[in-house]
Amino acid sequence: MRNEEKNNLLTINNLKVQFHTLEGILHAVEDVSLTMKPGRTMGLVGESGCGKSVTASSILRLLPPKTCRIAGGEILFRRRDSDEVVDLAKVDPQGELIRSIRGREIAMIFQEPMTSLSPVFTVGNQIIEAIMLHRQVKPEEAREHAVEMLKAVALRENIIDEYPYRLSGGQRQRVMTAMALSCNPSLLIADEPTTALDVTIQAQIIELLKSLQQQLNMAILMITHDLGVIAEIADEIGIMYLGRIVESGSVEQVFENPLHPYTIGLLKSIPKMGGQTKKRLAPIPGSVPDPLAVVQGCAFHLRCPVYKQNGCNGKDLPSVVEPEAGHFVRCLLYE
Amino acid sequence: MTDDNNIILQVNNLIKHFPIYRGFLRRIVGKVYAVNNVSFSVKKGETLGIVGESGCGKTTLARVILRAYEPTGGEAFFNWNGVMTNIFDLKKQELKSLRRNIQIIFQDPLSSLNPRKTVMEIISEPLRIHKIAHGQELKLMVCELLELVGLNVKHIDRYPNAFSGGQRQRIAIARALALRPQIVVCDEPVSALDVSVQAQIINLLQDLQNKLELTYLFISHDLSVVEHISKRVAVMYLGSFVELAPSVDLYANPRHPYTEALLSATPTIDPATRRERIILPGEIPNPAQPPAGCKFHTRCAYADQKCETTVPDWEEISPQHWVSCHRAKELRLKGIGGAEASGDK
Repeated sequence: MRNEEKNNLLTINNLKVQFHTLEGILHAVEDVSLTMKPGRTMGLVGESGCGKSVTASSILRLLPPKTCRIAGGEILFRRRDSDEVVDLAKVDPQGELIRSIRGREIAMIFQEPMTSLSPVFTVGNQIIEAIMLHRQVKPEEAREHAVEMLKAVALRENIIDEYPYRLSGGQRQRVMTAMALSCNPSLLIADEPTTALDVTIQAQIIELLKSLQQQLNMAILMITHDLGVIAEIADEIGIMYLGRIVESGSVEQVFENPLHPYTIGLLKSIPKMGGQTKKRLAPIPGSVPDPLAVVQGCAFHLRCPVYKQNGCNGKDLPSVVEPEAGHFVRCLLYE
Repeated sequence: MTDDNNIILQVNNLIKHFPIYRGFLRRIVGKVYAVNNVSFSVKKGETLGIVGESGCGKTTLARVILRAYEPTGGEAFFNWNGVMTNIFDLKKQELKSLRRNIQIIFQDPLSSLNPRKTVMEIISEPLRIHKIAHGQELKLMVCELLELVGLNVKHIDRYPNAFSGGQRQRIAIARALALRPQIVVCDEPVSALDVSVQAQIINLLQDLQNKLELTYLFISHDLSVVEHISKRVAVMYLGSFVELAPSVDLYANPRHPYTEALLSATPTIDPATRRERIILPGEIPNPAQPPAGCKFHTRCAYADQKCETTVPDWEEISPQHWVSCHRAKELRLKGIGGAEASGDK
């Protein structure tokens, strides 16, 4: 599946990422392809260990260079100023090129806002550093801009001179967001940005991301395990299982007409709120296999409830098919 | 509150304050008001869900009932073979035998299981401490428990690190059930698990409840899980209950503005129902300096002058529906689902 590259901000084709561990080669990402358009939100969903965070980190080449290797595929990113397309999978992870993209054109926010902020610098210092690095501005202008960004994420102005430990989890996540957006990136990668937060604070951050996205026309790649959050924010969605996207499409398509048995299982195993009749949940049997063990064929066949139907023998790797326009699934049932 | 026959746990005005020490002399300079005047009762065989955001005191409440923390005030009666016994009056030896009846399951099964003990040692420990069985009999009991929670008996000599998250939580459940308790406190038992495994554990907890007539105190921050498993649900904010009602009633007709906001903030998996959400301004106030009057008034959209000065009463606004809000009777709050959404597809 080679994606149309025109107008796309980011195109990932057949990405393959491996970790070299003492116990052997871990295939974290097997074959991931996705496209992102400006101003749209793509959600990557999956359980722990499915490779969603590794996919996100490999876009910015943040993975440890000693143990981790991009073994194949391409990550095509359209640069803002020159409109030129670069393959991020091939660039030097410590080179000049990726460093001019990181933070300026692609920014990232992480799950744990405490560990991603430095405890020994004030909030202002950290935001100003990012601005000064990418823009030719005077320190006073950078500070002014930092204050503006803090206001944009609905924080008080005087927070600029506070240290991160003085702030609550929600405030820290806002600071992270302000820092990430300070250089007006065209792509924001949000790796579980609300998982560590309470529901009321989570709702605040989701609304914030939505409104900032409209103002700045940036694309958001949202990584989460929470299907509810994805349903609220994403336009397109990809469901990952053991290093592969097993189903993708628009949110409406995937939630209203899920095709892959794994997606169906995930949706059935979540209790629905406001349901008056309490049906028994239908969990997916078993658990995610050990990532070091290579599963032959479709990785889900070990847990699949409809396995062995329609000629599925678990040995053949299904290819990606498109049963309806824009809705892709990787399952032998639909071939 | 209700007829006393079936009540297994009755908590009255429970209070827990933690002192804050400061300086060289470790003087007490303030208090964290973790739990304030919480009262409720639980019937035998039912599940009472307790929801609230982090720091609202739900875990402290559970631990005080188990007397892992000593209470600052109030009483908690446990129906001990027909006699209502105040847990807070028990001496050390009596407390030990009480704990045969009340057990707890924790959130993170990796840190609640000793990594240097085998499954056999972990599950048999409560049985050995209470001198219930030994030798071959002990091993048989452990095997029985493993089967009960759906684990393979062959894995009895493995260590916790050999198991997945869901299996570890099953071990923790087997350990909690070893003494055949009547009440099990579940403190966020599924929050650390993946969604597909979470459903397995929820089903297991429900099956065990039916089989063993267990009573659950189910603590969680996840409103959809709590609704699914609980018969009645209590909503906690800054150390106090703000609302307590049968779960269907609470979710469809919330009477406290905080409950309404929580329900509205919870994301649903149906993209068609992206609702206008109520965004609560600000954060949970510091429990060491709680606001005067109604504790929620700083974030409440409906607050008026009375709310800033007077603490609202805990009153039964309709049968079984308890709420603590001055304006509960006049406000028309929005729930989820309700009559129009009950037609399940």
